[in-house]
Amino acid sequence: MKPIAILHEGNSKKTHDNELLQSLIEYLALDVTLVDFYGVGKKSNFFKKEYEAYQLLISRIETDQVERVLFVIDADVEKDNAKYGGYENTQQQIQIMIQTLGIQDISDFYITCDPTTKTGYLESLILSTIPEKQKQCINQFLSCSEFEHTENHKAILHSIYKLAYPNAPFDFEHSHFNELKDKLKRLFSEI
Amino acid sequence: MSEHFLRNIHIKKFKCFSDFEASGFGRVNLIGGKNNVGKTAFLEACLINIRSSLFTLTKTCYSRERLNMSSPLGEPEYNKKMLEYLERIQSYEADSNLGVFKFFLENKEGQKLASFKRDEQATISIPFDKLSTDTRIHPDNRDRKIYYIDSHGYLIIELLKAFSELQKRDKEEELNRFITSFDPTIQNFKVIQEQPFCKIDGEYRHLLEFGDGLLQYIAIICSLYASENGYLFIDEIDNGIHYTHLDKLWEIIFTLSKQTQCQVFATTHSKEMLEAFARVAKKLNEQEISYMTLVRNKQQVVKALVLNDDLLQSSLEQEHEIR
Repeated sequence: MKPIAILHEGNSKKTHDNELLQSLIEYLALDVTLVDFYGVGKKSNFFKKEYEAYQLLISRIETDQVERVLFVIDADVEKDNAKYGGYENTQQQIQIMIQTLGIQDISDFYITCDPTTKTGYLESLILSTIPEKQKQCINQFLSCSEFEHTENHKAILHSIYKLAYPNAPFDFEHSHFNELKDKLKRLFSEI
Repeated sequence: MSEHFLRNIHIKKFKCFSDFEASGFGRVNLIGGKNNVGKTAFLEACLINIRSSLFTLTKTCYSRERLNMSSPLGEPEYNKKMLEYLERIQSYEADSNLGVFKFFLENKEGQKLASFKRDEQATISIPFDKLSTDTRIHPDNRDRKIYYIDSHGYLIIELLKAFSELQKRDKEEELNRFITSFDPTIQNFKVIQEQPFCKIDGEYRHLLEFGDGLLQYIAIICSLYASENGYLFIDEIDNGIHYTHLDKLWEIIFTLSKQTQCQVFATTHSKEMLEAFARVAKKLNEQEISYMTLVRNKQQVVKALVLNDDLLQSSLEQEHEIR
């Protein structure tokens, strides 16, 4: 079994759900083979103590098979969900859940968003790392489109980004990745 | 699930287990874990708990030493080996949903005693040097049919015993059908003058002329029939069996164990075996299964991670390393 668990939204086998994390781990020359990725599906699953990914995780922690845990969770937008939406709500609720699971000593979390606005999701973080002009173009396209649902925005953003930057998927030198880089380095250093 | 199935066990003292608990067993249970973590000892501990007898403690010794488990009891050679074995293990204590069985050695007033306790009955102590393989301590659970295929596979005599049980149930045709699906060149299986033969190209050839995989396969099928309403333990189930037969083997195990209400515990190191187990369970919509990994924690204490069907499927889908 692998000593590091990274829990993220979506499906661990649907590559774009943890593609950035995997790429960043490799970029930092950390050993990705030490990690089991746990796709927990939708965000609300993070806040269910009885969720099956937690059953697996806790049994592995109790037997010392998992030594460090990182929760990677979207901030989303507060107006969409008064309890779990937005950076502060997400931070508060994930801290409560980590305490409830009793794994605070070995756990950390990273809230995915546009660091300047503290809202959004993985795609917002990625968008925040590209030049302002392109970013405005994409934002304008999204606001003009009739795809108003968040999941549509995510998919469109992902596709546009992939099309626009096929050879350099992520600009890991951008300062907006620093917090995630620090958390990943710490995660691996404590093994 | 059937009343007679082992659902949980707490092994307090036995070989590598000091305080080991596992629960959530189903009708068919696969056990994984690294070398020397206690997979075989776990099978033995369950077997002893289910039968709750000195005889079964002895059987685990026979298995490890490759002695004929069907030989007459009380033979000096076996008595000697049994006493050596009991001195080595010193104690056994486990309780489960099926009962409690305890064995320990102690010195009282200069005399070495072997003490036994079963369920709520009083402890019985016997001078150690008076023990023999035919000593009966408590009335044991003889009605519980148990078959144990060790990591070397069955001896011929053990296979024939299981086959005779299959014959009593008139299941020879089914066995032959399974054998032909395993190897289409084999036309028939027959016991001739108390020896097993397979017919190939119109000629009967001794089973030992074929590969170990065929013997293991026949042993498993015969034992599934023989252990009706009982238990089948298989140590290193994949021994000799080619990966292309694994799905077929699990289909047979799932189907026959349901038909005979036989609870199966099998160990493996093989990723292919585990994947086949999960794949066939999903295909047959089997819910009464578990996969248990034995692991050592930081204090080197053996612990269990038991996954039910949902958690097993989920772990494999996410490509977690769970062996």
